[in-house]
Amino acid sequence: MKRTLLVWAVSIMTVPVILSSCRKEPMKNLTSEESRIYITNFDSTAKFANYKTYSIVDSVSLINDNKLTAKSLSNYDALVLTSLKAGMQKRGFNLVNRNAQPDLGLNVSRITNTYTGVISYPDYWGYYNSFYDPFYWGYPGFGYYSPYSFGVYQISEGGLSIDLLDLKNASVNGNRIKPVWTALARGTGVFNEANAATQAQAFFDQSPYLKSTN
Amino acid sequence: MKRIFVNTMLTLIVVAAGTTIQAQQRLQMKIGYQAAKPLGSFKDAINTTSYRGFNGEITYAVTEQLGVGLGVSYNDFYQKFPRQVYPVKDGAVSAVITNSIQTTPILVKANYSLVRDGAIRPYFGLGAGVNLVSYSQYLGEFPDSKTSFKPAFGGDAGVNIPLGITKTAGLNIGANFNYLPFNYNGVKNLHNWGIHAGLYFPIR
Repeated sequence: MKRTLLVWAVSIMTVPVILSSCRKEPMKNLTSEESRIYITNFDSTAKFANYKTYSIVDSVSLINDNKLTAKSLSNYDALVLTSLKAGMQKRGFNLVNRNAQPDLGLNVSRITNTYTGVISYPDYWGYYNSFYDPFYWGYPGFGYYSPYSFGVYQISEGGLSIDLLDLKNASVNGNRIKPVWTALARGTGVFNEANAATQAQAFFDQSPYLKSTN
Repeated sequence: MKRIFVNTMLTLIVVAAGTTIQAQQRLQMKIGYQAAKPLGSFKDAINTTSYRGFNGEITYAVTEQLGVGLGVSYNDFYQKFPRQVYPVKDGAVSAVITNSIQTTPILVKANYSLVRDGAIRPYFGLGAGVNLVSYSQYLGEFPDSKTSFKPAFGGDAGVNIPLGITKTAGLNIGANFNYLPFNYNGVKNLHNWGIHAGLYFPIR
């Protein structure tokens, strides 16, 4: 009697485990567009209205497992750069040559990692000097501030990272170039040409404070 | 999903029909389909009805009207929210959020039948135990998941409709309430109510 009861009890307890396969699987109910997330962060002490000019890199850095592997200007990369320029112009920032002492510098990276972890990319900022020599922006010997974290989301593929740097106050900031705005796109199709402009637009749409008084 | 449900029900009907010819039994099994709807602050996370659920129960008849035993149920709650920009400290995240929560209350139960015989036998039951919770929130394709055991309390009421010659098996229809405390990522509880329909039959 006791044995039968035990057998039936165990059987009934395993039913939910078996039936859990009836779960509606979230990943199977997402389109590529829905799979993507756009994250923006800003330095709360930055006064964006005080910046007038900016310059942008002429190519996109490809960073794999915290190593700069190449500089790229594919169709996708060109579309990203063009879209960012359009967005910055709409927000009142004037594009100047990087030798013309811009107030802001815009770096663009495609980051891919072959492991699963968190999305904060702390190592990325640890090696930032080796990706972007401050000399490029006219500040040889300077360093970079490590910014606030991006978030705590799980990595399953690469991401498009945009970093807006405060060049204007680099000397005031103890010879360190401080990121004042960062943007990150992650998810399926994030490196597709068709999504380049949409992603840049999303970054600006969710950052209304990013505006110059020009 | 519907085919699984229909096949399960047909199988159970065959089993139940076969067992009705047995003598009066004290150990009884109940199994059926269950739909559930979130209540209270659970609705802030998921406000849609779960049509993916089942329940099961084994009880021992202490008296003709009182049975005690073990009950288990399962419901899959799911809701996807359209893309929206969510403010975070010093920034924002634009994402389609999907909440996916599975509850599995496992309760020690007591059921009391209001009548000893009759074509329709109303009953009510109470239970307490643990709830196996599987929680996932997806920001786009990026999940935040947690599995945990939490306390669970439940009650149900319904009718048993005996079938066959010996009236030891039959149909079960009822409604149930699950009081399921929980506290993670802003979801304060998983309280829900639902309806269920299935079969009961003796197993010993």
